[in-house]
Amino acid sequence: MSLDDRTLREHLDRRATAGVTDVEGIAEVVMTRVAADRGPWWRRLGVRTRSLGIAAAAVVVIVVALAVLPPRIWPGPGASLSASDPSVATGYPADRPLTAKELDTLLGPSPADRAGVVVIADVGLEELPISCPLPCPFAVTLPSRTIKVVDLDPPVLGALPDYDAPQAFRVLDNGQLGRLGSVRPGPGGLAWTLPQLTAVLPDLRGPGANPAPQLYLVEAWRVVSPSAYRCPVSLSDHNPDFGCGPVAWLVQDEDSVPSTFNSAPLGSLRVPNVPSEGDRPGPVAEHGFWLVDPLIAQDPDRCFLCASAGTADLIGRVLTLDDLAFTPATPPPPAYPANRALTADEFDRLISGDVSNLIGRTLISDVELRVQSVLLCPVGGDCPEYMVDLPSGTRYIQAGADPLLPGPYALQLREDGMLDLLGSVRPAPSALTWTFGDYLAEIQDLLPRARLTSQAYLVEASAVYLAASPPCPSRLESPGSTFDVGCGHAVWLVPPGSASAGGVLEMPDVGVRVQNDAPVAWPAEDSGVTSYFLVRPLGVDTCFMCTPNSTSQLLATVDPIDIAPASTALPTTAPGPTAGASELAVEDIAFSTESVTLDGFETADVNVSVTFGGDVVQYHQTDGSLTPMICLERDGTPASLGPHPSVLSRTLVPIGGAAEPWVASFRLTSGDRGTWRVTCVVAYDADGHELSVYPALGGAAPVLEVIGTHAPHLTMEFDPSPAVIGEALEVSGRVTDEESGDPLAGVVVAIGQGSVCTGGGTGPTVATNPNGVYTYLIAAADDLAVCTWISDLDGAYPTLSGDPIAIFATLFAHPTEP
Amino acid sequence: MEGPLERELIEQARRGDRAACEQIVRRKVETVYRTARAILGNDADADDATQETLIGAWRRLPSLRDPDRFDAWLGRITVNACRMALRRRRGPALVALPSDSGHELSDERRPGFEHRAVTADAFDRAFERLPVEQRAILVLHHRDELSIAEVAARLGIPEGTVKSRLSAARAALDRSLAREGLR
Repeated sequence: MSLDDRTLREHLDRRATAGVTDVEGIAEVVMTRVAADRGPWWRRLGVRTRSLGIAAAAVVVIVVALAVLPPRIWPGPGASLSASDPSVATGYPADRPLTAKELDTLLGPSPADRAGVVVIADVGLEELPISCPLPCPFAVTLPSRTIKVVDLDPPVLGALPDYDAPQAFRVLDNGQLGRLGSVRPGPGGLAWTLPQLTAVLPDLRGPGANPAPQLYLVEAWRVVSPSAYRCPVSLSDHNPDFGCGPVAWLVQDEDSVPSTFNSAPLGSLRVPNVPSEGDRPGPVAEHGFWLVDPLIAQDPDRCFLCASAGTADLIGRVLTLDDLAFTPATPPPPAYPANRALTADEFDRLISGDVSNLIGRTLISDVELRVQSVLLCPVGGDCPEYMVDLPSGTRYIQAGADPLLPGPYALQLREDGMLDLLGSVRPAPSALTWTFGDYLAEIQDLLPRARLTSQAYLVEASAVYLAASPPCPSRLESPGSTFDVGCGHAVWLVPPGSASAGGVLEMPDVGVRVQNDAPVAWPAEDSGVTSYFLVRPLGVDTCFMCTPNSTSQLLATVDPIDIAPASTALPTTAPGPTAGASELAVEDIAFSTESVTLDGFETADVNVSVTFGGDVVQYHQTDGSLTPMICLERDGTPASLGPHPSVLSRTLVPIGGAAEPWVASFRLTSGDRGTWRVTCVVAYDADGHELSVYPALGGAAPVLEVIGTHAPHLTMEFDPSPAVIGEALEVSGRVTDEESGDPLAGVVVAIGQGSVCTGGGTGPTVATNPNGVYTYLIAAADDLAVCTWISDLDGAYPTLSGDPIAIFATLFAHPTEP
Repeated sequence: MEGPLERELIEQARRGDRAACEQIVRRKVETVYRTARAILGNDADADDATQETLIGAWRRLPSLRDPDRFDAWLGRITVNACRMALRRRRGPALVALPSDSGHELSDERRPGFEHRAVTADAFDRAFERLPVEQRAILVLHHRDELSIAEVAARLGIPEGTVKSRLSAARAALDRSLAREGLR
């Protein structure tokens, strides 16, 4: 079925308007976020451009380093920081928040046992779909459970949590989590040093010292005055936290703890001294990670002995993993395939090792599948429809079933290293494998639409076969018919252990009929062996000797495999390159030459190199659409350039270390004559943040001049025009010398339709006759674009990646359009 | 997005004027949301993508050299935001089993609508198998009714590439519909 334009538009319009979201509400949220957004970092430094910002920031960093960094962080000129210095904290909470998995393990089976503990975790907050008075509840989904979150930080009207930031929680007595607020990570990790924090406080402090929208974790020493101060008369009646009695500050390091407390310690942050809660220590000097809410009013009339740097509410102390005595339990993993699927790591380890015994075997794994980009299809080869990203690399999957149904997936390893997809597997309610009884009950629920069920089920069962082969009913003998479960030996799956040795002589009372030519190794005739069978429910209307409503297609048997348990140790540093990632930027773009001269079918390879600032990632291993790329655009309108492309795009490839340029190579032809400029550079960091730069818009792009003479000119016509869908269509045209108009004989022209016209497509070719004319007959036209082109690799159209292929001319047209 | 007022608004917003930004957001939020909703197919992802698009536009507005290209520029950010929304979505999309409740665009609801065999559920499943680039090009051309040249400007690719990608997207959609038993 090919949808007509109107039908397609109606469906797309339905999708666009089906939502119930109030877009005005989105606008409100956006404006709230815009109001909280202070623009790019260089604008906050008071400069208008990024380059000036870099210079200004460098000066600031040097000055701050010289002025305020303590010796243990920056020992001074000529000294280097010892990586083995035990006082340099690593891991949680200094460098990173807990992952969802770590939080899950930390909370354990009885979260209430951790009541009072303050944690910071990188988990997604899900708003519960109910209307509620403030504080409104959330939920977070952890690997083993979903846990309710009570918001202890009721938002200002209209404000929402920062969902992208780590969240701070206090474990409540009932085992739920109390959300304390979103946490703004420090510049070098999760925690801020005190100088870093006090440096940003003036930025945050508004009229009336409004509370900052986010919490801050600061690594500091908390000190308390050894004696209670008499309260000034003006504070005697209010503001007990920042008023009288023992006075508390956060100070930079142990050396900063003052011996006398007649005034606020230099560079300190005044915090309340309220020892009533378990996570607020008593009056002793103590090092720790303190969760603070800056900008409590520091009106001198209200804040007694406040530091000049600022004040903050002390939300709680975040304990380290050692403080928490957190040793994640490592229970043995449940058995595969009875209780669970293989993890992606386990699956990867299996198929990356000795696979001699795995070829053709069926494995069920929790891998994530995605659609293979057509841009990455090998030229001339079968194009896999799907791919899976594994630690050892990307594996490609030929289509065999619908992968967009929920996983896990049943996959078979092929000899060529690719995978075959048998289908999506529907897990049993509490395990991967269905008991026989549960499967019978399930397929009763699925009927009568069982034929439309695309998911497979793994069932523990025994297989038996009919010893005799009774005559086939005449209604099933009509030639040309196909039946899911037909004649000959009948085969059933029966409850495990219920099969008697040898074949049965009549239909079992309880059983699921499966096809007798299933692609599995059947048990020997004298066995009723129990195994794990991967089946897909079927209807019963074409089934011979079927038990009522219980017929299935047997896809494979799945063998148990002993899997070595994967390490569950906590990482001590932030996963991936996120922690040290710097902001992406394009620092330089250059052509390998300023001009080239080409005549006729001559070609020239020209490189464009791009030097990036920041950690650009070559993403093609995980998502081809995120591979860094560059575009060139030629002066002139597409119409004036004839059949010669006006834009060229290529992926960028790194040629050395991080500081080395990335390069794209373009094979240019005489038809590419004109002035080319770099119009786009797109790249991504490890977190998928996009850098899109359009150098030509600013007039700063390097320029390449191509002088081309005697370029081939290509035309294309259809007969009939417009084409009649389903009928023959003749595609013809001429190739001539663009300058002289002379016909060019023997030129190989490729013709394609539909996906062939995409990058990497390969089309049939014809050669021009002495008059420069080519002709190609499409047996049955359809409503797809037709393309013709002349390249230096016959029949091949260049891809974004791979070796460059020259395109001398190319045309597209819709044959059904007049 | 046209006219001198619009250009002036963009210029003001580029200079950091939040009031101008708010006007732009209010004028564009519906368009961005509908495009994202058509590409992504659900409220939550479309909501996220719309927010990210408009916030991203605010943050990157100073890099927009030509205010007349604002729409194309915003459209490109929208498609990128949709792509990021799909990447953030953990696991494969949940696709419901076809059922009798799957509503069908009928003549009664859509006068003149002739393809009753393609239910909304089947179309959505087929559409959501396409990569986001193909979804986007179909939405921009067939739903937002942008010309080939406008799509090219919006996606930053040449018109010929738009045509070929559009053709490939239609073919992919046809194949995907066929897998729904609709061929």
